[in-house]
Amino acid sequence: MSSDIMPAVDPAVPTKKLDLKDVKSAFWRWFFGAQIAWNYETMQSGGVVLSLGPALRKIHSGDGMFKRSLDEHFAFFNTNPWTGTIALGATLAVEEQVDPAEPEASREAVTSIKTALMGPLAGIGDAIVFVIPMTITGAIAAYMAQQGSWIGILFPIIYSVLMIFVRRWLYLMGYLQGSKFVTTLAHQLRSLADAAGVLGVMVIGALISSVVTVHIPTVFSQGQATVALQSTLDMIMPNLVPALLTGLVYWLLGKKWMNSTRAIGLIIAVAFVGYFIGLFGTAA
Amino acid sequence: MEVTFLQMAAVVLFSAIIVYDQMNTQLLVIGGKVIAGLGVGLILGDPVTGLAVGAVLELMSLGVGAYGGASVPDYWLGAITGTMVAVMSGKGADFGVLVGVPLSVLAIQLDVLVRTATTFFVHKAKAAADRGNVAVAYRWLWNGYTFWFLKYIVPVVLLFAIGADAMSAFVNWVPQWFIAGFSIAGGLLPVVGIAILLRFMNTKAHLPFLIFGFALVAYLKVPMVGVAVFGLAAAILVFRAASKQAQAAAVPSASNAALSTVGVNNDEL
Repeated sequence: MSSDIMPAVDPAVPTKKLDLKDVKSAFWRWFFGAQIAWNYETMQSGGVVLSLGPALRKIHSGDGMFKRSLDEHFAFFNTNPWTGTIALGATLAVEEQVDPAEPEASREAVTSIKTALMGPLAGIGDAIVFVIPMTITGAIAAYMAQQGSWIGILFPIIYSVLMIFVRRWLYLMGYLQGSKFVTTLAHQLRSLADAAGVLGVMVIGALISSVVTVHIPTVFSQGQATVALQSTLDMIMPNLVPALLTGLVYWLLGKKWMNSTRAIGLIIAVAFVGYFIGLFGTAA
Repeated sequence: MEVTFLQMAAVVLFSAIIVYDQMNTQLLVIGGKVIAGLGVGLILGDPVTGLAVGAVLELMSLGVGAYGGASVPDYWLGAITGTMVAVMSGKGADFGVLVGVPLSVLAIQLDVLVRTATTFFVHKAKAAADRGNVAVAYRWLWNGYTFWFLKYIVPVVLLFAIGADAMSAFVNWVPQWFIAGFSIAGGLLPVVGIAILLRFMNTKAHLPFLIFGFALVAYLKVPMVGVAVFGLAAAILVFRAASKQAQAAAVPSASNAALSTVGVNNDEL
C-alpha cells in the first residue's frame, strides 16, 4: 500500500464534517445491508450506497456533489464484508476532504482509495477472519453434531458475535487513520495469519482422522484363520484410508479441470464403486 | 409425519433468516449448515436428524466459499431441504444427505439467476438517486433482497407442497443400493471440504502441524476441542516467532517511511 493512493489528502487537516456517531451509524447500515442487493454487475455497490449515503449527505452541502458522489459509489465494489469495513471508513475520510473547487482530483482520490483497499482487504479478510476460524469453530461444531450434540454450534456463533465489535472497530480505524492503518497492520496481520494457519492446519489434521468414516467389511480367510482387511490397515496406520483419500483429492484439486463440485461428484462415485465391489460397507 | 401449518410457517421464516444473515449480518454463516439443519430439525421435532444432516454438509463444504461471487453449490439450502426430507419421510439422516447434496448443486442455477436478476433493483436504485430521490433509492436497495429470499422460500414451500406422503412414496421407490451408496458417500464426503481447506492454506509450510493434528486423534484419541487447545499453544509460539521476525524486517522499511515524510525521493526503493 503506497502512500500515493491518497493524493492531496492529509488526515490531520481539520476538515471533519462527521462525528463518530455518523461513522458508527454508517457501520450499522453496512452490517445490516452489506450485500443486500448483491448482483453480478456491481456486486456490493448497493451495500456501499446504503452504508455511506446519510454520511455523504452530511458531508456534501451541495446537491450536485452529493449526487455525483452517490453515482460513483454505485460502481463496482467487492471485498470481504468484515475486513472491507476499513475501506469504507477510509472512503468516508477521503470524501470529507473533497474540495468542491477542485472536484476532479479529489473525486478521483475517493475512487482510488476505495478500489485500492478492497482487493487486499478481501484477501486478508477471507483468510484470517473467515476461512481459518470457519475451519476451527465450524469443524468443532460439525464434529460435535456428528456425535449428536448441539453444544458445538456455540463456538462459531460466539466467535461471529464477538467479531461484530472487530468489524465496527475496523470501520472506525479506517475512517480515523485511512490507508496508514492498513500499512501498520500489515506486518502484524502476516504473523497473525501464519499463527492462525498453524492452528487451522492442526484442526484439519484432526478432522481427517475423526470425521471421515469408512467401513471396510472385506475379510480374507485362509484355512481356519481369517484376517479383516480393516485391522490390517489399522496396523499400518489408523485412519489410513481417510488420509489417502484426502491426499488424492488435494492433489486433484491442483489440476485445472478440477473444482469442488466435481470433487464431490467423484467422491460419490468412489463410494458407489466401493460399495459394488464390496470394498466399502454401510455402518450397520 | 404430518407437518402443521405453524411448523411450515416457522421453517419458511427460519430459511428467510438464514438467507438474509448469510449475506449481510453473517452471524450464522460459520457452522451455518449445522445451524440450518438443527433449526429445521428443532421445528419439525427431530433435532438429532437435523444435526446429522447439517454435519455432513458442513464438513463437505468447509473450505467452499463464494469468494469473489463465484457460484458454488448452496449447502445451506441443502441442509434445510435435506433435513426436511429426512424428518418428514422418517427415513433418517442418510436419506437427508442423499436429497440435500443434489439440491445444493441444483441451487447453483438458482443462485446465478438471483445474482443476475438483482441487477434490476440496483439499476432502479441508481435511477432514483440520479433523480435526487434518495429515500426511494434506499428502498430499491433493501428490496434487492427479494430474489434472494425467493431462492430459499420457493424450494422450501415446494417441498411442503409435495408433502410427507409423496416423499415416503419416493423414499420407498429409491432402491436400497442407492441409499447404501449415499450412506457411504456421506462418510467420505468430508474429505472434499478438508482438501479444499488444505489447498487454501499454506499447507506445505505447516505440514508438521497437519501430521501432529492427525496423529493426536489417530493414535491418542484426543477430542477435537483438545486438538484445538494444542493448536492454540502452537499458534502462540509461531505468532511470537513470526512477529519477532517481522519486527526485525520492519526496521529498515520504517526508516524509509521516515525518509519519505521529510521529502526524500524514495522511488528506487
